[in-house]
Amino acid sequence: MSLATRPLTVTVKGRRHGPMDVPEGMMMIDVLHEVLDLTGSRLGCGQGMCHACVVIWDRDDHTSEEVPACITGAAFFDGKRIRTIEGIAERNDKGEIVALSPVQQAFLDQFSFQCGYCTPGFVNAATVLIERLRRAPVPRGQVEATVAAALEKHICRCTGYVRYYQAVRDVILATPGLTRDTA
Amino acid sequence: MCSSGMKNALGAIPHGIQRAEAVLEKARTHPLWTGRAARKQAYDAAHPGKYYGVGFGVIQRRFGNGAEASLAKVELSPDGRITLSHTGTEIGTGASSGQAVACARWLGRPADALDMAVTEWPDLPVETSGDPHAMSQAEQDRLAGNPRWSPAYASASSASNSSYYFSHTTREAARIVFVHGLWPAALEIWGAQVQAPALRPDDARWIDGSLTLEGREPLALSRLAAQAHARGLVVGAAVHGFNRWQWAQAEFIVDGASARIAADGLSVRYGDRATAAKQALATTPNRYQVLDRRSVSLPPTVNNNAMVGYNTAVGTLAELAVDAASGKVALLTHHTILECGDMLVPQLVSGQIQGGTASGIGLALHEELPLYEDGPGDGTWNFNRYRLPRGSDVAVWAQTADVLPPLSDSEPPKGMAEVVMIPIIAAIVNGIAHAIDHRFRTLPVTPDRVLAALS
Repeated sequence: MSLATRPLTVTVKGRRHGPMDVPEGMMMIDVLHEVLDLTGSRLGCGQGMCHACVVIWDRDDHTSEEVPACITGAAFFDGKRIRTIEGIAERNDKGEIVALSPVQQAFLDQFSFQCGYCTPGFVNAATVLIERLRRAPVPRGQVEATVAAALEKHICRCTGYVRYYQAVRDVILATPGLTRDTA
Repeated sequence: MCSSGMKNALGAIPHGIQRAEAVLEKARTHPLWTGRAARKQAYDAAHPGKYYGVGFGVIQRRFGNGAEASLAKVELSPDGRITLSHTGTEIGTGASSGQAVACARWLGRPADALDMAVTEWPDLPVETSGDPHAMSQAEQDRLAGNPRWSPAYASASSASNSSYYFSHTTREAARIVFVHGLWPAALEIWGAQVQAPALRPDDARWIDGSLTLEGREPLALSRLAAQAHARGLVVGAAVHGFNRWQWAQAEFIVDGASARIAADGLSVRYGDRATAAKQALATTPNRYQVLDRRSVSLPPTVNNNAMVGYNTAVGTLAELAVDAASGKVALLTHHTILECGDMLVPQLVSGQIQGGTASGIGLALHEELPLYEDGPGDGTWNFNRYRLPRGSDVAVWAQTADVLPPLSDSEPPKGMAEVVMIPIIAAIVNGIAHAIDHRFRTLPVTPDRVLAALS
């Protein structure tokens, strides 16, 4: 018995993969793990509930959004550009990490996570949020509510959210251009 | 409340001062508690259909299982780099960070390199047999004649027990390196060997990574390590510790000096320039000398009869509002008061408080797994119907905590992880009783149950 396949071409952090044949109905998380050897995205519930697995889909209009890779078929990403946790930090020509993103650094500095299973999802969610605020800043007084709304879907069982939320809030408040003074 | 000196439910007197009374006193004067009646009146008037309530819960809980054991090895390179190896496994509670920090008490700064969950210990062979919880005193006495024997080998990681039990072996290993390596090295550099008998290692202080004593020149760890290596002093120590509500103690001859330590196994490594005679003593793959203990005092097996225990106390105030239309309970804020000894890493303690209370909130209000055939045993339960609390459920921005200062810096850090998830549950149920005058005795308090109670 052989599995029916379909071609997939996907660009991950600027690198084009494919066309390659992947089983029909295969979820993107499995393609990342088993085909592309990108194992940083975490499979949690497999139901799109915990959001540990989210990847960033970069649209052509320069906006981006989180997509749960555990319940989204690989076919959805055919021809699309995505970023996974492996592509968030800054790397040199050899592929070595030379600098963490501000969000990653803040999570480390503020002890935001313990077991770390949910961390890739939180990093991607916060990255999408910060990029959105760069395009559409919010009043400083609305930052906490904005952070809470952006991270609400993500489940953490270790640190109770506080240190994740505080870290993202602090990055936003410390980064010029993400907030504005007036409503 | 179990006060200091009182027996617990098992008939044993817990170790140390019991600080639940201090936790209660803090809660009694907290504005959430003192102003609850006035705020309820104001809130209920301003929010028709919602009922305000404040509740409190407190607990004293034992940490440890009465047969805790671990191995730790601390080693200094000639340039002062600290390497720590430990049997403890990092399970997400910050054990590795805590153990690194535990080195600082004797070595002036946290470990530079960590090797956790180490299972092979060729540098410190330890043998064990029998059941440490059930063996007779006669059996223990007989087995203890073997200088390599201990009632238990190494404990699994559990909650934040590592902060007390694992840190003990880490600190003992670091202390051996200090007392038998860095201290004599410092005396030589200071030219204080003559006064040495009147000087005490405990009086030395690490200031900004340098060691000083009674006004003498601060010495950087790298300089001391180089001296210890050059003089063939002790630069590494591997320790095995065992605790049955008290620590095993043993006497060893370390580099010619008698040393009684709170551990039952010890091996040491000498500096790179040690004499040939010393080097000949080092027989393990990593050039450690395994020491035979001269005497040992293992905790008596009678300690198994009642779980004596080390206790942590924690109390939580919860402020909430019950929506009469939906039955939902909204947590407005909560405040936790904890005593956990001398914290190793305050940020990790804070994270444990926040995470523990979040778990408790889930157990009180959201998480339910039914019994019997349709319960989680059928293998189909997942987050679609097992609701974990999310950020909006735990009062992320409003919650606060207060950690009591330790009695002194000699008080050890204490396990406090799971204990913080308990009082928030009682606090919420008590808060609901304050809000709607109905005491729930079944958890979680779901909207359906609230509506049924209100009807």
